[in-house]
Amino acid sequence: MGREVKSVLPILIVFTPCLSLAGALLWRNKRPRFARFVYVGSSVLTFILILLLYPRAMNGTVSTQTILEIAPRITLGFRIDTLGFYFGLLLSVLWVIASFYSLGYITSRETRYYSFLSLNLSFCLGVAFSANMFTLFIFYELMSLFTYPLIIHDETDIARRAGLKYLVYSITAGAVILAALIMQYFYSGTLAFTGRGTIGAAGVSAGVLKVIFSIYLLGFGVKACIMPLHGWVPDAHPAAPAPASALLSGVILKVGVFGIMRVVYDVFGVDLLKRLGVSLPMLYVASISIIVASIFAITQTDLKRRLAYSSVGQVSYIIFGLFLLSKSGAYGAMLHVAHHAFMKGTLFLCSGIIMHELGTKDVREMDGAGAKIPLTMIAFSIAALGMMGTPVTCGFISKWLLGVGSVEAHRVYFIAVLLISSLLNAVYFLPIVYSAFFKKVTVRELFSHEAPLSMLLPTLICAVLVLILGVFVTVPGLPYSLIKVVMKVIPL
Amino acid sequence: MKWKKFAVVASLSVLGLLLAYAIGEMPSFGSKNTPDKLHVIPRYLQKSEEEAGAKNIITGVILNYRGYDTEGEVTVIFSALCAVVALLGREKRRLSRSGVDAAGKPTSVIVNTVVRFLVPIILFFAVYVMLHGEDSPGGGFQGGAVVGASIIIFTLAFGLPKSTEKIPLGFRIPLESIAVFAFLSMGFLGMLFGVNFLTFILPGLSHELAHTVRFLMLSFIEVGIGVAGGIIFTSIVFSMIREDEYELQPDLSQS
Amino acid sequence: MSVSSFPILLTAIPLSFAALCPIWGMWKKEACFPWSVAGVSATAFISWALVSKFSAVGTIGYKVGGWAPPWGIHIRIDFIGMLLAVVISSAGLLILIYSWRYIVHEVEEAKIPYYYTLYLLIFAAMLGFSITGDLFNLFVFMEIFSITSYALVAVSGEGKALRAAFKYLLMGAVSSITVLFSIAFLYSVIGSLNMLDISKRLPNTPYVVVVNTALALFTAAFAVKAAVFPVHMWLPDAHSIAPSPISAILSALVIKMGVLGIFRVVFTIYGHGFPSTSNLWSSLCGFVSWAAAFSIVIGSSMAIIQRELKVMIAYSSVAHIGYILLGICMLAPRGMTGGIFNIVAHAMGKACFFLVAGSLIYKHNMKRIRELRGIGRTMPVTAGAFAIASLSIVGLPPSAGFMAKWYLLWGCFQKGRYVFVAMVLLGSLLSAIYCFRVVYYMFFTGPRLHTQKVDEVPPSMYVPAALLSLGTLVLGIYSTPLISAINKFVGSLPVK
Repeated sequence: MGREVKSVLPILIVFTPCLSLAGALLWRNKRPRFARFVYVGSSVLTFILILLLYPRAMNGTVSTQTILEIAPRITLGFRIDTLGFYFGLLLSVLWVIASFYSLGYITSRETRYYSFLSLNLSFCLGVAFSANMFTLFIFYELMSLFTYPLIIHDETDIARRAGLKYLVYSITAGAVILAALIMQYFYSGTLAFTGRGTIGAAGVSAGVLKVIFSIYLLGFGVKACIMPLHGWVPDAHPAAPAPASALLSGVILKVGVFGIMRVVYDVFGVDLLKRLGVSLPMLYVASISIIVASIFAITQTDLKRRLAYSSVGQVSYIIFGLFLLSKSGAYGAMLHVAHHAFMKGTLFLCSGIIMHELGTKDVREMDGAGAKIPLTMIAFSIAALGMMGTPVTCGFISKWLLGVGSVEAHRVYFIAVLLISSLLNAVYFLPIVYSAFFKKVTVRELFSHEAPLSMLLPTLICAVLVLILGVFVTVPGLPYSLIKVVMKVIPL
Repeated sequence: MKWKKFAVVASLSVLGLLLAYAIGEMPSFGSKNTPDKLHVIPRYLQKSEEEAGAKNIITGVILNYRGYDTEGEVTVIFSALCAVVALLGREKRRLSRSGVDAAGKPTSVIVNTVVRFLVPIILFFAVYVMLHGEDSPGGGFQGGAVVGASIIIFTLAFGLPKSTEKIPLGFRIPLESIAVFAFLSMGFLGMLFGVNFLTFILPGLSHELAHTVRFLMLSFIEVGIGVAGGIIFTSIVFSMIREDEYELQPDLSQS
Repeated sequence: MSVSSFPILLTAIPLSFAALCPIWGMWKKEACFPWSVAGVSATAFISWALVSKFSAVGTIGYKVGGWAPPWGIHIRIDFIGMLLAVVISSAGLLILIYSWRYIVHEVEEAKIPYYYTLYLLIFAAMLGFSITGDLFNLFVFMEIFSITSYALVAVSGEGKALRAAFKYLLMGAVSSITVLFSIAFLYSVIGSLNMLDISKRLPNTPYVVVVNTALALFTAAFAVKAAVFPVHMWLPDAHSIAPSPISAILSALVIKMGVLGIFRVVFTIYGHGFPSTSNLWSSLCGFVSWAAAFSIVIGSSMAIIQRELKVMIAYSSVAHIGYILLGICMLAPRGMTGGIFNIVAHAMGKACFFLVAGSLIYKHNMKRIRELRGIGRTMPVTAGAFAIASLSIVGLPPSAGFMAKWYLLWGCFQKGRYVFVAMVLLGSLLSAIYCFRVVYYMFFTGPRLHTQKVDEVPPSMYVPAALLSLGTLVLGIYSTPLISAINKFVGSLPVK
């Protein structure tokens, strides 16, 4: 399995988004419209370039490119396997959507915003395409740092505080990952991703392996917001502008998850993890995270905070699926990466429109919103239903697979967690939908109207994707078909 | 503050005790056949005159065997001068009045006469010390100190303006770097002849000539050190006098 | 003059230029700057020429005066000497160019020739210190750079500067005299001053107590020069009050001389053969590495609570000397790599920091961190240089500081010193706080973009800072040649 071809595409793809920096530097004052075109165009171009890799990804061919040897035996290199391709594709799609949306939403400090937006795309792609843990770490840290300007974009006190919290969390996490990285390198002598675990062959004792594993999880768990480490999420998401929070929740959290996936599949390998017996504790952690986050979400009245807590819970689904260490569990986990990205993306983009048009963030003040901004609220409802796992939406598919996965892994009782969580999701999403469509319009919303097309269209596309992914599951090119190729490599 | 003082005293006492302890273990002073007397010193003792061109072994070691260190030492003195000048500045020429010494008192005729009589003799002695460092106790540093002393005495007696008139700034500035310059130029001279830096036996000359050249080179360095040393001491003192007078200025104007 | 005579030129050229500098100043004060640039760049060229020779033949020796080693003075450029020579001459050139416009701001016009003279002297002395193979010669050059640095700290002539310089002078003088004592001790029982010769004769000496005392005193004395934690008190004052280019020289280069001194004593002199006859050596290394680890934590914590930018940067130097010495004295091969690499990384990052701080003082007389609002918009290059250099100082990828930390941590694992791992990581978290606080004030606060025009310092000031910060980045992305060279060198040291 897995031919490897050398290719310049990975480098090209990773650096394409940086084009928009040129846009920022050259044209921001003289030709602002053209600069904006460059900003969006660079992400579209990235998307197209990634599509070029599609045939290779589908037959499991790996594109590699070593850039340079940073230090003896430590290389900076790219290696696009199907999992990486899947992530890259997801990233670029969401980025295109968010960029278009930003055109309508962002009105101040555009240069900084778009520069950092594109740089972050670069770095996220770098993470997805990295050939070894070292490259991954470098891009991961860069991404962590460069997300900061997006979070404090509004430069309000709340945003500053959120940004500070975010920085403290992510820099600490970076230090923790560094420790794990060095331990891995010290004990196993390699950091390369090969598609199966490398650290098991080094003859390291189980205790040390468990330590490395838990340090890795502590580190990546901050971005992946596993429950005790989620503190920055509910502050950072509301503070960031809507498209940025869509990306934060849809993609940047997933980059943490992606790191964990690399740790699970490429550093340790499924067999080793089964032997180490870390699966069950991780399932408990994820379950607690799912349920507690959902309960927290209910108590929030700020819409974006509620969505942020919902993200904490939903990302834990992925962790949950991952550590079922069963075939369907893995399918469910990987599918949920994309599914949650689109669902939560829709929700955050909608929340942006709601704030923009209705001027409120409070979930109690949305009575009759459906009458004023009907399309937005329909999109919102679709995504909300998806979150609950209603059939026809993509949320159902991943939840179903997670349930099957629990059975496969002989841990049937965890299905209860999934059910309770769905119920809780309903408790915090349905009232919003209900009040939007079935309550009388209050006075303050009288003058509001539907959002401009540049904001509405991306939102609707996102919502439609939620439905498409839920109906045409097995169509080639959609996540399921890609994950099938991924799963050929993973020994489950 | 108290604990700080205590800490200083404690650490210095520990240092002192350590030193005393180690000194107790050292070979006792003057004893024969200690390691330091068996390794490099015998060669200095036996061959200094022939190899290094100086009857005075100390001079041989300082100028020839370890000339590079001495180059560093003259640079230390030069740095000290630069440091003083960078902090205090040069003397201000028209600040003080003639007939007034550094302490602001009128000078006496007796002192003036004695100094006028003594200074040439002291300078003469200084030149002797410089030139004969090669075969008797003395050398550039000592000679320089004597030169400096003579100029300082002169300044004390006649005041700063008179001294700066005799040795003006434009004369002193080039001479201050003459020691470093002498070392470096002699070093580069060797290099031009294709031998290592600070080698005093130049190749391509006859035995006699080479030795004469070596003597000249060493003497040039000795004199350079002496002159520069003396001038540097003088300049430092001049800078400081200016500082003193500057502070005394209000008192003087009152009286 | 062939390449074989280049080693001596490293000190002879800047010394000649220094000796003639006041004479130029007598003629024309403006001539001093081009004169010193000529001297420093010639030296820099020679140091790079020596690098190519070094990579071909390895250790370069030069007999001053043609005398064979134990009798005469032997210049011996080993790897670490070569590395430091290159760092000193390159960073020295950039900082010199920076100080051209800056120094007019802080030093009286009449004193400017002496500023350049002192600059050339300290430059020559550091080079001489790095490349010498003779213990007493080491001391001589140490005296030169000590005296010149006391003067340069005080050169502005303000009361605060004089006080700081005096504090520095007191500690420095004690340390110098201690070094002299130690040299006397060693000479009295070994009878030689050449470092290699001493290290050969050390294992056979019957005077173990004297030799041990000398080792301890040497280490303590050089630790003062390096400003490790318990004896770092002089550094924050001296480095923050000195004129900024001098702060850069002091922080980036002069304290590294203390590190080099410790290295010379612990490894070049005592490292071969001696450890087997005494267990003081390893316990001393252990002690120094603990002091270094505390330097990291305490220096970083103190930096956090500072309000003035330059004091903060100065405390950060205490922390970074900790990283370097921890790496060197932990006696783990990869830790040594990290420590030596951090010498270079920190030199570039910290020089850039001080140059930026100087630019801010020059342009707006800004000293406090809180005043830096909106600087990122009005002085983009200067602030950008600071931001990039702060990546390296914090140790985030991809920067030279990160690679240094990577190898340092690797070394900690090699020795199984998990406490040090925790301390190093804690230190980097703390440094993230103090560095990013500044970056935050520069870029994310202050008046809005469109209202302010770009108003930069002259190019001769922002270009050196920008080059240094780019250097940290380049070295972080491509460090293979340097690190493999360091690894090769570490292989020859008594660390396992």
